[in-house]
Amino acid sequence: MNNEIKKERLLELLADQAIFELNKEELNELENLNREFPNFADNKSFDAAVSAIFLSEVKAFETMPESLYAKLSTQASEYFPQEIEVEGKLPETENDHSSGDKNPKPLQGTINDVAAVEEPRISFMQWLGWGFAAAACLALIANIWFTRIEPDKPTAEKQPTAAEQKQQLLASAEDVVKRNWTSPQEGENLSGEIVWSNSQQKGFTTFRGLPTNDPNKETYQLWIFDETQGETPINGGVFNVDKNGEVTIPVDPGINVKKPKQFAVTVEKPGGVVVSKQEKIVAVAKV
Amino acid sequence: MAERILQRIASGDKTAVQECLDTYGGLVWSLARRMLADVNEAEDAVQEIFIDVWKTAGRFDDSKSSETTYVAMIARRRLIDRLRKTTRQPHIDSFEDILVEPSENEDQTIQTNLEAKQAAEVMRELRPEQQKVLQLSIVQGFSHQEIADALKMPLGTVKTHARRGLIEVREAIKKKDFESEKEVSA
Repeated sequence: MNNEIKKERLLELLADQAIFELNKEELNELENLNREFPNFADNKSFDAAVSAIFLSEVKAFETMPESLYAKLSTQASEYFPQEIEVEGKLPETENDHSSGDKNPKPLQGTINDVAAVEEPRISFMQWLGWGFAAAACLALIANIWFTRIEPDKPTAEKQPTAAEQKQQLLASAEDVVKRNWTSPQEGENLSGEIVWSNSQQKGFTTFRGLPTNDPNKETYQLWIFDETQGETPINGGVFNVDKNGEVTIPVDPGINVKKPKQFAVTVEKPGGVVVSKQEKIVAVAKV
Repeated sequence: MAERILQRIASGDKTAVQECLDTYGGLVWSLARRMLADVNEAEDAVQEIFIDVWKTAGRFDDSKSSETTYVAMIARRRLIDRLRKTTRQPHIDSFEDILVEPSENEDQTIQTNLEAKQAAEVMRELRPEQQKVLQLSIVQGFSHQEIADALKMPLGTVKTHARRGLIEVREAIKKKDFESEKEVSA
């Protein structure tokens, strides 16, 4: 094999590695070729090309749910180990990691290591700092107790229900469309409506008369057919119907909806599907 | 500057971790929602992705890709792992359904960064089979065997389409980077 063919093969393997997975034999081959042509190509540029293609498919950005953002913010604040918190507060000792360094690195070691350092004298300002910290802890405990643990006391601001939010959307959005649900099967006693605002990219829908489903076996999934997306509908979220027979849910598309032309509900496996075969359509609302 | 967030995390800057979340939260959430039908699963995936991004921040190399592209790379791997572990069982009939033709109108795609824009441009120029294979493999996360079965194409042909398509995208990105560097230095 001459060098040009070998280089060609190296590119192929790098592309395969970035898109799919290499088997053991291919990995060995790649390793050998990389050794032979160390500066010819690198896997990171292939990974970057894959990512760029992946990114180019994102049609719109969505804001993540507040609850998830809060959870991640907590994880972010706890990401670095606690001992980093004491950076710069250690007394100057022989072991001082930061002395003479304008950009000190986070301290390494454990909380015990930190505790083992000789205790400094505690000034009034430090006492004051600890006092504030203690007060903040107490406030946090009280907050958790009153907002999350104490079960009988209602929260100060009750979240509006989906039905209330639907009414609010109807009243507030100028471009809101409201369509009634119909069943593609004759004789089905289905009613309800969907409201959707393109400018707000949100909507709500009510169903009456959909059969109760067993969430362990199947779920209902809402789809939005967008004129600009061809025949591939956009996932609007999954939901279940209990014995009450009436349900109102938010319409939660994963991507930007530009020109909705039809909404539909299918029956799918628990958790929903990425792509529906549309074998069992139970409700349709044309825009 | 957004481009420095990961380097700051790697060097132990606590504020950068939150900044990373603020900067890339929408992107990662949108990618997760695009690939996972179940909202709860998307939420779990987003948490996993961010922890992975923070942990591997030191591996980010700004000479090889933008920070956005790096975050998307981690997100893709995690999301595909999830898809493979969970429920998806690709079905031959479903493949044609999920193929969305690359957008004719550039405005229809929010171009998240320069590389994504270049990739979209090159994708539009590729042969339809190459587009299909790249979309099924990169965007939908199907294996080459699954694609070969679904499109009734020999395995070797699937690989060839994927490789050639990707190599073209990579070269276009590198070429544009080189031109941008020349413009900056001129």
